[in-house]
Amino acid sequence: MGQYARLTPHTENRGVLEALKARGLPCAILSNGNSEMLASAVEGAGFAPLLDAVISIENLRQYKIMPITYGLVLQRFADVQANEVLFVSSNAWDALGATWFGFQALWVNRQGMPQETLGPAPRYTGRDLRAVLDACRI
Amino acid sequence: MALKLVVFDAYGTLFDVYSMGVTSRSSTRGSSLSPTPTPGRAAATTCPFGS
Repeated sequence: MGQYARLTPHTENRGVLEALKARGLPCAILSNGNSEMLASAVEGAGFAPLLDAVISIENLRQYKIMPITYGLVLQRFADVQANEVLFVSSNAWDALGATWFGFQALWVNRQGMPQETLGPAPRYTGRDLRAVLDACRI
Repeated sequence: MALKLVVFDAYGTLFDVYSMGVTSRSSTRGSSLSPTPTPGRAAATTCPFGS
């Protein structure tokens, strides 16, 4: 499990986060991982200055795709409505759960996997994180 | 609706869990931690945290 604290980011991710930061669009993480491991990965990647929040579900003891987990985002950013959030995941089921919750979802389909049979499809799909910039029209 | 916030999943989305071999994909190698793939369903990633 210690490897999760030393993960490297996908190569395009820093540039995407920097572009969002330059645009003034707040960015956050919502993860099923625990806070300690997330903090280590974020620090190791040098992403801390580019993120406004790192949110773990660990205190809930419920996991995505339970709606209450996505609700943590709206608790942290109280002035944001669900449909004003772009939720980005490489997991189709996570993008689906976020869509059900009311977020705009982007599925990063790096492996060219088939779509989930359950709908609706995520609003956006891309092959890597640069699709976020297209969705945000940056 | 204008976007006001971008939220990322961590493992597999911001951080590469595949190249380090810390997880497997159920469609290729299987894992006791993996959800059982069902026909027509995209094979889920198998991060033990789910994501």
